[in-house]
Amino acid sequence: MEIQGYNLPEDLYYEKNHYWVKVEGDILVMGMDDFAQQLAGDIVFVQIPFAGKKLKVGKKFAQVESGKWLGKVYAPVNGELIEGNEALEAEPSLINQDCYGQGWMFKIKPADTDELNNLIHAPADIEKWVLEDIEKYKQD
Amino acid sequence: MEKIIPPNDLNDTLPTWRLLDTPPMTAAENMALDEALLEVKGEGKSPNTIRFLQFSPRTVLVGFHQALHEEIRRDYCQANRIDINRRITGGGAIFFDENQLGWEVFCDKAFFNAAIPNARLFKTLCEPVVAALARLNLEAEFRPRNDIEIDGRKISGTGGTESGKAFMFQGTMLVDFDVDTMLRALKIPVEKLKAKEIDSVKDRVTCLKWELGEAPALADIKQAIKRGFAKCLNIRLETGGLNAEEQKRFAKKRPRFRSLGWIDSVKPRFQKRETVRSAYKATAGMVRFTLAVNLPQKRLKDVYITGDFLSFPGRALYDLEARLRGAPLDRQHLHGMIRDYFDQGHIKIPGLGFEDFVKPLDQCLEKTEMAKFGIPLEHCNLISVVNGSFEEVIQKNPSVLLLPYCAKLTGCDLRYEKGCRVCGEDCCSIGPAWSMGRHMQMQVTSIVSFEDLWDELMRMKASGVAAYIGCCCQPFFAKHADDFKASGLPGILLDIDNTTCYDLDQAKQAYAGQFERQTSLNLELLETVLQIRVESCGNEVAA
Repeated sequence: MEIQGYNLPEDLYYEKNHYWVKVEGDILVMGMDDFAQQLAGDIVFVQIPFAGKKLKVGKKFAQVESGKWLGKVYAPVNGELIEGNEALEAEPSLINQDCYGQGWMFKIKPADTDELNNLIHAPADIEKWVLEDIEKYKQD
Repeated sequence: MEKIIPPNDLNDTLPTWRLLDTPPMTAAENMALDEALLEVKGEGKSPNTIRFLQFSPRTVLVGFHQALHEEIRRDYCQANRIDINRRITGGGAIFFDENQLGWEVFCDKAFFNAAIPNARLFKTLCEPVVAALARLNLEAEFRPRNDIEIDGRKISGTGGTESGKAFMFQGTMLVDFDVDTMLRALKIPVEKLKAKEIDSVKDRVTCLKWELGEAPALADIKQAIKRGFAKCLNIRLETGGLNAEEQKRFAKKRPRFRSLGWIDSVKPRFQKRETVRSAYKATAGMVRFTLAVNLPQKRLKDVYITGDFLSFPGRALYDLEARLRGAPLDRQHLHGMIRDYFDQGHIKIPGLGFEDFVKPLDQCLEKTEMAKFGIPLEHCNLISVVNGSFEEVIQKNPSVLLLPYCAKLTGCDLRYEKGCRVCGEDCCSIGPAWSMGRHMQMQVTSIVSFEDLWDELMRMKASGVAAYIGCCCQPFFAKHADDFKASGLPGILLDIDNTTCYDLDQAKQAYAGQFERQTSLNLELLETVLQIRVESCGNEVAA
């Protein structure tokens, strides 16, 4: 859905720091959402941790840099990192160009798919959350 | 420490932050302490904090993801007792000597009601330092995205990161500034360390000493920054030390921050920094573009626009540079940005317009294109092209090689003649170049003056020559770029060594063919380009 200039597809799950999660069979694909991407500006670096890294929900596991800010990526669920998008090493701006497609960041094998229920998913919830954040991050 | 509470102090109701004024430390210690403080704060086990930091010995610090090799002159740093380390925050490489003061904010994300860094947060965090400068009688401004400047000149650069529930934001305050050492320690894209270039760096940065005539006492600067934060964030600051958890974490982290595993942890596969430069002599003055580029990522990392023209307002040029920094390395995109800047009236330069700016820019971009032929970018800097791209000119199979008389021996009886007998004199680079050209089946000729060059170009054109390769110095090319173009002949021009008539201020004599010094051709570069010509056009080589 389109909310005040931000594109947030309804079929995705969202982590509160504005990362999206998509279910693809047994695994989860994760990336930065359009709101965070627009707020961050040009992404200049993405750290891709080694495959097999254990992820603990809410704990940081990777880093993303934009505008001299080194941001952290927090695990949306418990599980294991199985792949990072290596194309981002050469071209981190793929996140700015296509955050839900070519700019995907990580593939995760979740420990328990039930944990997805802790993420934001229902269209009404997505809308409420994004509207609140639009208000919260309104620039002067 | 005992709290002194003034009677009836309204401050008592304000949130209290800790002021951590740490003594000068090594780079590894300062970086380890940054990470320790941020982690503990991120776990909610310490108070919100403002920290002052200083370095001893002086140091260069790269940003978290930067490759040392690309940003720092390591040998110089090691020979001059300059520490090398890596920050835990983003941004570019900086030189931090004993005269500079760093300030840092460690605080709960909740304090700013934000989990994601954003433009407003950066402004909020820079305003206290702007206020501090006002206390020192300096009118400073926040420049998006996160610099603080005085009249367009940067006095404080900042960067940040986060951990768990906390943000960390840090900045430098330039108190006094050793530009010369900075230029030697960092790979700043300046050509050679000439006085002129030091001046052009000086135009873009400033420090308290330059602004005020003398540097204020360190205690006064700290006091101003402290008050700036107290006022702008509406907090009360109370001096304190490290808590037990912070001390433990600090001690544990120090070895890692001293290790090469940390300092040298980024390899320059994608984090490249290379420099291209070009100059164009417009009627109203010389315009030089120096670009630091990341070719794998197709990004413009940094840009310096210099020259002998006057631009208004004074800061306009630096603002344009700031806009271009980080932009994609795409001709159309960059042209659009520069055109908009001129069209919107942000910059006014008597006698110079948008077109005069994009000419040297295009030459720079053309150089990055040459790199595709396997020529190292540093060598591409020594090549200029006219009437076509490098690739187009090469495809035309240049059949003439033009060599300047000034590279002949000053005592050579053919110095001011068109020929060369390839005598084999040791100190002359014309003979070997002449042989090389002949070997490649090219017509080789020596150019004895600007008029002679023009006549030669016209003769070549009339006789159906498709393209040529020539050797000349950069200043000559910059000055005559429009003439070369007007001839209509496609050509590739290779730079010759540095001590040219232009450096010696003898351009007039050279123009008339009376320059008395000997220059030297870059034979290695000539060979590389001639080789590309052979490979691209399948030319036969003379036996």
